[in-house]
Amino acid sequence: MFRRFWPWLWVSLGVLYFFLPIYATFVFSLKAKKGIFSLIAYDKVFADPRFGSSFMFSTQMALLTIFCCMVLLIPTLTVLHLFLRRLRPIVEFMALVPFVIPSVVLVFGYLRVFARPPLSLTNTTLGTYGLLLAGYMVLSMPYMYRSIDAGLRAIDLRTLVEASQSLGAGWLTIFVRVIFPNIRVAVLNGSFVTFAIVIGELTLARFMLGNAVAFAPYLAEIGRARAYEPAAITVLSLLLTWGIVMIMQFLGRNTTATIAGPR
Amino acid sequence: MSFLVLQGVRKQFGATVAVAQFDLEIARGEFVSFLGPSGCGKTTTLRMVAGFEQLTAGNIILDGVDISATPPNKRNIGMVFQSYALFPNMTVAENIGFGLMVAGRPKAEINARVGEMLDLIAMPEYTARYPYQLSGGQQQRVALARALALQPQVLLLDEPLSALDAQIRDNLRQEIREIQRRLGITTIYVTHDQQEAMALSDRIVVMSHGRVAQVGAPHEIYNTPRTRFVASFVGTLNILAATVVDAHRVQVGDAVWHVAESIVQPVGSTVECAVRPELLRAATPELPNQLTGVVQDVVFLGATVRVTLLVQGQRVLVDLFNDATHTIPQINTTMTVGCDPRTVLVLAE
Repeated sequence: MFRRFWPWLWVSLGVLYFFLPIYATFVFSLKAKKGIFSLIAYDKVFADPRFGSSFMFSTQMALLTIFCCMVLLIPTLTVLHLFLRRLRPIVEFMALVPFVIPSVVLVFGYLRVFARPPLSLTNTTLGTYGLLLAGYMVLSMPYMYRSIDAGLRAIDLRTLVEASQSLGAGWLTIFVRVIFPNIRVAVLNGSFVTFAIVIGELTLARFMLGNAVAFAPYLAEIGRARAYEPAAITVLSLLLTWGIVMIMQFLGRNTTATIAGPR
Repeated sequence: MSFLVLQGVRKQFGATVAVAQFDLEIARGEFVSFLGPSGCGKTTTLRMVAGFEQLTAGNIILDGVDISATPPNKRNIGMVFQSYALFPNMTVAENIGFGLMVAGRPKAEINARVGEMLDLIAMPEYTARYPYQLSGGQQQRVALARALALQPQVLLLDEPLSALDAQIRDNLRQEIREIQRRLGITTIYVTHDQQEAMALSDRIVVMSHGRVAQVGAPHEIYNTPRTRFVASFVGTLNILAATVVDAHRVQVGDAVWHVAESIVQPVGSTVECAVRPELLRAATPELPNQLTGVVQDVVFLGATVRVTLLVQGQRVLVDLFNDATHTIPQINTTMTVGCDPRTVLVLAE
């Protein structure tokens, strides 16, 4: 009995640490009308079209960021693992740089370089979104890099590639049919973090798009003027994010997680 | 005409020479093993045939076509890896059918061929299993079926049995040989296990330091090794220091031994004579090439008894048949053994 006490204590503390603030926020969001619990704050949130549009925008940007990171990083890391192993420490260091560069420095750097002639990317909506996407990719790169790198380390990449080649497969087939399915769990793990980063990213989105286009700036703006609606939005955004992450996990579920090999 | 030809093949990694000068001609349907210790260049040579390593020099010609610069996925050469290399995300059937799917063959043809291959490896009921649900031996059989499904011109096997238990290894060795004979596929097999190479091969290529030390049928390699390296690497061998007396005699310790083959080394020069332990017998008056020594050790091995003799400071191993009617030599007793002159080899350096 006593042996079970400590594990349960730590699990309980962990659950409290994570869920107590959410619970408190949820309870607060229900107190828009004094003295009773009500869904008034939620009604107001749903009545505001900016909530849906900003969340959709950020969701689309998050999915696009995940896709672009995968397209960029899976081949890059495969090449590094197979042919340029000596460069791995350098690339690893570069992938960690976004951790130490604040977003505000990144965005001003982007604006100084890309918003001015000759590129002037921010003159068009597409250019601005492209620049924002690039910024999101930089911010999420450490997580995606680490996840994909761990996935590639966990499989016998060289032998699988050579086995595929000996069976007549070209590189596209190898990436789509062999490498990606075998690092799918790792890619998913990186994708979850990337999704959360993009949904909650404030600085880049605010400086490039203003206050109401992306979700985090919208949330910040609401929070400045009101009390209960931001709490309701926080709860809703958490639920929506969890829902999307669960959908991603379901779509990417892996029935063959175990790697075979000599035993 | 040779089916697969390796002409002056050389491979360098920076300043390190992995394969120095490799020339070999393999006939269609032949089973050739590359045998040698770790780092001798056998796997590198195999990988060059597969196309995974670029040649530094030389050519590889398959059925009259120079494939030296052909990418591995265009060579039609099947390969079985030591670590099996089955695709973990695919079932047994999908693994076997992968090459056919890549080649764009119709689904019905793929299914039929997968069925044939599963029958060939005697695993028809394993279609829907994943690799992690199979034992090591089963995984390797699937890997073999996958490599054969495309009907490759050449089959390469890179130490395919080294990760398996002894009993499974023996069984699978037999299966590989039977399948190879049945299909008549030209095969190159890399191993450092001499028994495996001898049991499977039509010819063995013994390699040392990136060079071919000797090429020959298993019995040639075993009975008439050309160099000390080959002699010592293949089987157990007694190597005795000797002095050349004339073209057919050498002085070994106090005894003069007769040698059937002509000795090319000059009279008076020091040479090394080799004789297999199983070719030494307890001496009888008419048996030539005798040696007398003190029994140091006796090890009972079942079918044979290995006796270690100390003859004038040199250790000599003798394998005697375990005959219940004969007494086993006792330690610290004197024993005289002898051998036929045809079994004595004078080794080149």
